[in-house]
Amino acid sequence: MRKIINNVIVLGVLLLGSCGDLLDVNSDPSRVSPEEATLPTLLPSAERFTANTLYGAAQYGAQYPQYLTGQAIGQFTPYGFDQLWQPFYSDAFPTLQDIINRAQTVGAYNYSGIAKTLLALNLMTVADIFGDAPYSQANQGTDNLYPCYDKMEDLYQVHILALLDGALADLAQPLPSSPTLRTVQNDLIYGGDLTKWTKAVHAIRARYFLHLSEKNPAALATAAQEATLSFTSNADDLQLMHEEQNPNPWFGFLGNATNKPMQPSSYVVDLLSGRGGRFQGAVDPRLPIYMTRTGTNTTYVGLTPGRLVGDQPTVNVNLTPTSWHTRAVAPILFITYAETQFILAEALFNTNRDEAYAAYRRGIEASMAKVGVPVTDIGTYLNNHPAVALSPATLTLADILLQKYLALFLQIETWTDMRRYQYDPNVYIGLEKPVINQLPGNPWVQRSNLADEEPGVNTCLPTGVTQTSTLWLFQ
Amino acid sequence: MFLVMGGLHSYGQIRVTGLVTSGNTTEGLAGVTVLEKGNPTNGVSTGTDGSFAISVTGPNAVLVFSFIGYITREVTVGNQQTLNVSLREDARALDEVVVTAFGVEQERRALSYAVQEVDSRLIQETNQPNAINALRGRVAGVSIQSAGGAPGAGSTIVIRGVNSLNPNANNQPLFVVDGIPISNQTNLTGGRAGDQTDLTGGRAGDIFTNTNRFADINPDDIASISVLKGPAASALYGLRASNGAVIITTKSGQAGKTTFNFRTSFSVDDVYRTPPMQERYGRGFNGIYNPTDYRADGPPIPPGERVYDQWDQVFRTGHQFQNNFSVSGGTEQATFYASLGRLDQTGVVPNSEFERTTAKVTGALKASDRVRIDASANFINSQGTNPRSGVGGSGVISYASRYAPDVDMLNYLNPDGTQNRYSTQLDNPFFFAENAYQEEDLNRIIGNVGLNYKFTDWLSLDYRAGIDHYSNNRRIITRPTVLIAATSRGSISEQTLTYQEINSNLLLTGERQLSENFGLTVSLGNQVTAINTTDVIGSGTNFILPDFNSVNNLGQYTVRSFPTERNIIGVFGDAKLNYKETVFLNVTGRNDWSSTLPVANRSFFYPSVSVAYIFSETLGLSQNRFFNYGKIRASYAEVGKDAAPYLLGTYYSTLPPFLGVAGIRQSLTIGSESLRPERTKGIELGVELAFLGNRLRVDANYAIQNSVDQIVPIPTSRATGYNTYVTNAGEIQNRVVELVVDADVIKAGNFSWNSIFNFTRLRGKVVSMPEGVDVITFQPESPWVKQRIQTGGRPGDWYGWELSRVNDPDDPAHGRLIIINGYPDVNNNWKGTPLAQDTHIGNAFPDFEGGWNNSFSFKNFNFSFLINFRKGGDAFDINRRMRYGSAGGESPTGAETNLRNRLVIFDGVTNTGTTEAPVWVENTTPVVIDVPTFYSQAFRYRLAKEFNGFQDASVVRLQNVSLSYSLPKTLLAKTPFSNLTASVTGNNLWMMSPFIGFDPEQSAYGPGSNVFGYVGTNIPATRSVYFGLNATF
Repeated sequence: MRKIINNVIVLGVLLLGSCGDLLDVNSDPSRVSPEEATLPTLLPSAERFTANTLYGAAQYGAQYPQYLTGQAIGQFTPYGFDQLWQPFYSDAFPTLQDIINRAQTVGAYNYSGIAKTLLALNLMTVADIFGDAPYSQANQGTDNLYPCYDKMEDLYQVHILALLDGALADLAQPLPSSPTLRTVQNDLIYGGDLTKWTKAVHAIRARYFLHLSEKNPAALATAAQEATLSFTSNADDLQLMHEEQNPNPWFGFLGNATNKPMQPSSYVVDLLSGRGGRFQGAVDPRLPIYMTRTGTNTTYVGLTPGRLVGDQPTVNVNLTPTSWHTRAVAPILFITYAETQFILAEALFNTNRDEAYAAYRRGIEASMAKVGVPVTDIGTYLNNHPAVALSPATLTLADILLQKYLALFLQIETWTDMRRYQYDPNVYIGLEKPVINQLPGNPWVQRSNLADEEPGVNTCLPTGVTQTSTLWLFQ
Repeated sequence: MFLVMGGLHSYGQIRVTGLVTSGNTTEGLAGVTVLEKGNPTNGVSTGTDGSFAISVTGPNAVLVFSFIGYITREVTVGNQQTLNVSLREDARALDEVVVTAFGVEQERRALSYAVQEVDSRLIQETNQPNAINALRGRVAGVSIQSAGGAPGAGSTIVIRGVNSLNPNANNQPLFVVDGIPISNQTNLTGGRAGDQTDLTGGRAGDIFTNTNRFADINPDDIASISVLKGPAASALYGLRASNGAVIITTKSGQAGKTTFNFRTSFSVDDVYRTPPMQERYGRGFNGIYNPTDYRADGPPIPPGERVYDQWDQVFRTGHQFQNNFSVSGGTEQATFYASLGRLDQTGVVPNSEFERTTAKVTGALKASDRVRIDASANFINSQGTNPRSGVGGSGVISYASRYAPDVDMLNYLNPDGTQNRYSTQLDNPFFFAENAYQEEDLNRIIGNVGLNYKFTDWLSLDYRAGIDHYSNNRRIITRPTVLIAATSRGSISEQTLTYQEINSNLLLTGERQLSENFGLTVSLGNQVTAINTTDVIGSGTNFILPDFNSVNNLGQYTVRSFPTERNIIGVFGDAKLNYKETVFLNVTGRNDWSSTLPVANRSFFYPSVSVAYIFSETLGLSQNRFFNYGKIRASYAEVGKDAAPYLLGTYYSTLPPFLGVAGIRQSLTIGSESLRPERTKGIELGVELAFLGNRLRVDANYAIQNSVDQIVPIPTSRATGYNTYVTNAGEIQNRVVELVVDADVIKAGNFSWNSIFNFTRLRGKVVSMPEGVDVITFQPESPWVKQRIQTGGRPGDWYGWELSRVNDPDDPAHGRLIIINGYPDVNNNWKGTPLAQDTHIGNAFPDFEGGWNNSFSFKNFNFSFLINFRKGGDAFDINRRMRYGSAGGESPTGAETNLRNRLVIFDGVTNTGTTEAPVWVENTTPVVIDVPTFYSQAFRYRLAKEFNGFQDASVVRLQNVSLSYSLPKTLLAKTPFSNLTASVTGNNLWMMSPFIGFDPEQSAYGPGSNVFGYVGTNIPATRSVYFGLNATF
């Protein structure tokens, strides 16, 4: 009996003795530990996430500036822009902040300069759509589970500016001495060319000061200066090219989709086709590049804003796999040379009309060249199309914003432009509200709702948010 | 008289010999305990032939003959020297042996907690290939839902309610076969390649209704199933049994003649309950014919033109063909059982089939009087193909539900083999089924070997080791020709999932009669569990050739691998003390060490104590004709539970290459570094009563179970940089009343009627939530209805919007619809309330549920039927929302219905006063129920729970009917057969429910999820009629 008990004890000791080995197995072999993460592997992720953020903002948001219509959101139903919220807060922001933190620890200011540039761009996009948004309390993990929202005012006047200043400063710093960090690796956008990144910071600063001029007209001059310091050709554009294996997200969403949830709206189609007498039927050469017509009717017919796809059998335009923006191999545009020229034109409109007009023409030219309009056709358009102002004297703000509208097709920045002018029919001529508006009182949409998933998980939310309240910047 | 005679005899040892026989037979009963009453040390057992010999103190001595399964008999010796005693078989139950934790067989009377057994006959006569489905409606406190009628579809089993705040947690019990735990995991599509800790995730549900792995077990191999319901019953099994345990004993050989059994059945399966569809209007919009519009909102279909019923078109008759062959036998020393089973099934939708082959062999050897060795091996292969279904709009059922009635669904191919698609917004269900599906193949081996060594007659050791290993290959094919392939241009994913669980159980048991009145049994045990899984998924996009189904046919592909390892070591002790076999006290304790918890917290102890008292013994009621048995029991138990592997801290994940460069990113989940084990604490009170000589038996329970310190992935604001924080938080309480009434209503000669009724009333309550988390919402972005968990609420609470009604009880218009501009209003919007403020509109779980089984036997006929019922609980029929939004639909005012393009004055009132002081007058504004006006109201209007598919899910269901006839023995005498039985069985034959749709109890999210109440998107459950034949020879 004693022997048995002894045996059992020995067995038990043996089992427990090996416990440690058996129990120390809780580190995931299929994932990377935080210590193993590196700057060159975080950077390409951050660039993709930025593209996703900007695409996510435009994916459904492109219905507000009436590029597209056909979904319930286009009938101005409440929308929380989760396609922007998620890629920014879950993907782009943590990755960019991670790069900034790690880079500053090791003195890799080339990396932190790029990350600050992209973070500023992302944060400005978020602020323009949500107004107040978490920033200074955000991205702190379990240290702050309920990040409060920074005021849009503070985001603009403090945080975005600090990032943009920091980006310029970091990019001007001496390169790190470590040979592995000296050259920026895996930069999918500029291949590590810091000169181009510096131009990009200026381009984003131009956009920033143009926005800020709503509050401070003096910022217009700064915007113009920044625009001049920025891109000098389409080759400088800040964009992320996609590839056949990883197609541009518009491709799957609309281009290649048989079931297309949205179609070009009649507003943009009519501007491009000249239908409705506005431009005497003169066709913009970008029309067949931007979209594809089907059926026997040779007139391009878009979907009336507010209507759902399928409601109007006469609609015959779509975004297809051959449309420029919705091809598989196409870039997601962050900010372009054309935009900087339109910023310049707008900024100088009251102070230097001639230079404004020149920038206006460069913007049109850049936009057309970008999408492959032949040089001769660009010339014809510039000099012989009713949509183009023929002299500085006849140039109007409406002309500039019209061309910017057409050049920035599918970019969410246009919605900021429209709200800066509060949908002014003198600037956006012919713009009408969607035929169905689910928001009481038939208002113009001013902003996003609170992100759909925030209530319930964050105890520090702004109150009284509706899509009809005008953001600080646009007040 | 005896006394007098006793007085005549002198005192002294009397030697008594005799034979104990069973019932009215002359067959000797081996192993019967023969004890002299009042002298517990004087006892013997009968030999193999039933004979015994014992010396007693005198003629006054009383001998007690007891044997498990027989009624104990006391006989006074008197002057007899030869005593032949026949023991009556216990009619049933009360002294029956029940299998409890670690395969320990206990007399039911000694149990101090709730266990319910289900006989194998009941399981097999349903012909359900998934044995879990056969338990449906039979066990109190146990809720079973099938994910649908797709061949091989999984089923969910939940004992005593959902006890986790996490909608994606697996709340299912531990499954133990012959003493060794096996996996009942459901590997959802995507697995870890998806984000398994996303609380609000699972948005697509399980698009292939993947099976729960217990379904691999051949039901014909099962001898009995016993369900350990509360923590007291399952505490010894440790953390993996914190949701209860299902203990399966498989068949084994019996000494004697070798018997062969062959059982075959063939079924006819169909979908008999389909939603109503409108058949007046054809393709188009706003009354204008448009043959390419998927919506049936065109003009009325001209008379004479063919109208198709979508359900008649898409569903076909399915079949199950089941064959099972077994052989068993042996000698006193060695027994064996071997079986071969085969299931061939075709589903009710196209491209849907399943087949399963099982082989099992079990052997036991009595090597000596002290050593018993047994071993068994079970091999399973299954293969299946099923089209994509699921919660999203892209499934066979959801496409069918949106098909216009003037289109022939069967005409789906163009001459060149491409899809004949009438609208760009829909795929044809047949074409879709053939081009978007999953094929799977599973090989599984379950084996165990056991050794039992008796050191002495009171001390024994039981060691058992087992392995459960499976490898599941899945191939999901989405050809480029279907709509959902727009981005991918065709995709294939090939996934190999393996699961391996090794268990080692050591149990040392000592059993002693301490004194005349006290008996003690003490067990000490050790359990080591090692679980390893792998998940290798190769997936890609961009088909190169249109019909080549291989990952080698893809322009881009990636391979990901997600292995896991989890080890648990447990030691436990179990002491059972009984007083006069009347009062039973059971104390257990177990300590577990788990690899998944932080080192500081990975060791945890939990106790249980339970007591039972057979008061009828004390009251001397055992011979009472009316009330012969009564027991009360009470228990308190705790079970700890560990976490899933790799939840602590955070990690970075790699991303597939982009422009030739791969990147990494921080995971969206962060786990607390000080995670503690979660705990389930349960109090249980029960009573067992028997009346009329055991003919009426009642077993009732009241249990309160609290799950505290839950390890919950809390959804966090994405602005924290994570979307999930895994920590200990929150508490859920479940209170349950369980009642089982079992009655031998008639027992007369060759006719008998047995009736078993069970009833469960379960109330869950969220006692507390994680700090700072007010609410956990499932599908927060859903515009229709959503489930929310919040303090004071219940799991399964539904929130949504209702049509507004006048709620001032003093107003004569109280309760009437509020009409604005001719249309009903939703959610008091007339007061300017933002629509986001939804209200509590119901709960997904029933008020009560239960089942009533009746078995009749008359001569050679057996007949039984089982009725299930469920009262209350609301289901959201996702399919109804789809039908409503397009072609089909039966909504009372929708543009989709026969009732449209008409002038309607809604029956309600409008406010002519102010918001603060409303004045209600009869609505007189006519509106046309056509699309333009309807759509302008639609967004709010379709949100209302009255219209969006939200419904009462009460149901009474004829779950099973079975009729069998066995040829009389006299006829069989001259044949080699000892039994020949023919049977007809029906499952799910009829239901009565206010629910409009397929089946209110068919979970869209399927097993492996805690989300109940979403229904209507999977392939519907079928009505099945089986024709069977069983031969024994």
